Amino acid sequence: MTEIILQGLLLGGLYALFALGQSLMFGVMRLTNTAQGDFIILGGFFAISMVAATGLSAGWGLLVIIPIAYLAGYALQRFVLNGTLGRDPLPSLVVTFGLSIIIQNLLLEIYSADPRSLEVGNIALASFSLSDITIGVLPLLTFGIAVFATICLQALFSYTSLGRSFRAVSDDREAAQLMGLKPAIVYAQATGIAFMLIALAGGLQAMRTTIAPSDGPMLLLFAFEAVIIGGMGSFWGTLVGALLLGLTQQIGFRLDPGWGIWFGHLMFLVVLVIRPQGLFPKTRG
Amino acid sequence: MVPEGRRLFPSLTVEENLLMGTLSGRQGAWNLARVFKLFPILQEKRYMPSTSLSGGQQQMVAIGRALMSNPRLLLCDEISLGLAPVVIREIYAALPSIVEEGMSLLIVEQDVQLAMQVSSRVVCLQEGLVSLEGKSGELTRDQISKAYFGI
Repeated sequence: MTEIILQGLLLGGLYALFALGQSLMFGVMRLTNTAQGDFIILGGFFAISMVAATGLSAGWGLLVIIPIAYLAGYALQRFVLNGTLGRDPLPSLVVTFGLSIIIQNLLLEIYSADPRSLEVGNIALASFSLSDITIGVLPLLTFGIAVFATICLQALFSYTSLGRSFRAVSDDREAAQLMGLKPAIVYAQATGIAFMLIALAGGLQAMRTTIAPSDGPMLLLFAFEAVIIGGMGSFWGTLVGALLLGLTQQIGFRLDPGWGIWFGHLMFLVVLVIRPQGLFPKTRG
Repeated sequence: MVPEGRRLFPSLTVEENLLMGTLSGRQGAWNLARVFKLFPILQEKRYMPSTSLSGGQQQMVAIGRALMSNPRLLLCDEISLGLAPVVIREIYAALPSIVEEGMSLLIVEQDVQLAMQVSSRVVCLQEGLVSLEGKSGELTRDQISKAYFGI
């Protein structure tokens, strides 16, 4: 029992990384990125190529692509997504949906449909035992990174002037402009940070298992569920939502190997019915 | 600029709202300490969410936020809107100490008597045109009524 809970939480840590970027983008600009999963996969493939091209170790490769991901996210928001924002959420949904299709096909063209993974050597299989429970080093590391990322994001939002700008623009875009903020830039910074998390998530996903160009939508679903279970726009909520999702899936997997993901969806539906605003809603009307 | 309806940021605390005024980067006499001296109640509530304040206190935050940007001309749009008379008096009592240091103040105000008391010049606008203009002390109520209603 303890082992199921532990494995579930560790899996949830990875889901939290899938979801944090989504949570950030939604929190700041009410933008639902339907290409989130595909961007994660893109990040994973990018990390694989980076490691192959430079001969860096997987960890260093990941560190190198994170700042590049920031710039990519910044540019994407500045030059593409900003144009889709407005009262109507439909344009941004359509555009990110389109991006999702483009990325999937681009990856298919470049990398073919074969699943690949990011070689990390011994650490992928390394584990240690705690009494009768075995814990993998990589999942534990992933979990640690997820918690650390949540703490950083929450601190960024609560205590820095950038975080203040994020909240102000999210509250009242016009009033923020009156204060001299440029929403287009603030949004681009938010997406840049979200993309750093996306690249991190993609790299870790590629280390943990194999990734294929068509994996994106499934990851999007996990990210979505985690964000909504936790309550839109709250990072701790997203973390808890992701952990809950991981835990439920793990319990499902134990009951029957085919039930894991289904169990996660089921729990998500139950939360939607009982508490549609999520467990820790922080979003203002 | 103090916009009509205050437009505070609901998810920011009082102090954070005030700090938003510093984004313009203009240097000057106004800072957190000065604003807290002008409206001591804000210092007490600096870490509270801005939505938890009364209307008058929120108006003080809006004025303080505008002051933090150290403008040469402070624009106040309907700062008495929806506030109790006693609160309005309290806010208007703070205005002289703002003007003291040479900052100009432009107030849009529907309460004619109040506007006459606090200002040095009054301009009546009717449908976008100036219908009356003059030193506050020299205009009579009749003149203003006439400018307003055309009778």
